[in-house]
Amino acid sequence: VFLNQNILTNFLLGLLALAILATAGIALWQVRSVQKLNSLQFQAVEINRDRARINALATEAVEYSKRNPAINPLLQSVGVKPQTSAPAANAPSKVSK
Amino acid sequence: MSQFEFSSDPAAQADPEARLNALERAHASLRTSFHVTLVLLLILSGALFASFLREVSIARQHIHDLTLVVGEYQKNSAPVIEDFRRKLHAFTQAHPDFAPIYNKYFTAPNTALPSQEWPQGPAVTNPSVRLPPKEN
Repeated sequence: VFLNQNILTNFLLGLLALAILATAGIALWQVRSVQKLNSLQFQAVEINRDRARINALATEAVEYSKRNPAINPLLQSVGVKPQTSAPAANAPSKVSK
Repeated sequence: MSQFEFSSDPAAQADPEARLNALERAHASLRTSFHVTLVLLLILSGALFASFLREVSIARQHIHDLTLVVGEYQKNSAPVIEDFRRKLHAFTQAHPDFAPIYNKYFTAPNTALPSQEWPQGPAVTNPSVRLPPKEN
């Protein structure tokens, strides 16, 4: 009985040591994952900010194109403004794919 | 608890056999308490492990999603934006009346596009930057 009790104690101690090591390892993994996630979230925020800024710029450029149609080829080349089949300065343009 | 009872019991102190039995009982009780503590610690450790595993799983999923977004931006959107900026810059040289609009978006100190030093990721088609604005 005494020997069995010792075996049980050692078994439980070994199991506990393994469990603590595994928990520490996964805790470290979690910390690193959260750090990487924070970095990516920061980049995603920057991307959204950039996209909003570029869209605002495109809108202003389209407004500008109503005063100066010389910018139209530029806007059409990057897809900001749809290509027009019949070029007309102030007429509404038709979308062509 | 039982040790104190043992040491304060005059009958047990007088009889060595009874004293030994009391010691054995105290030892067994202590061992049982130790085993119970170990099992409780195992349960606690297992619960912590499961909790961390769940958190890591969620974080990895978010990392995967955001990596796709960043990679798509770098591969598809950033070159288009940079091309747009370069063309607008050239246009501004020829048409100075466009300079106020251009400078509003590109010449401030903190308006540099942040994509240059980011890590590469897999690409996903997302044409949001290329969408033309609504026209009336």
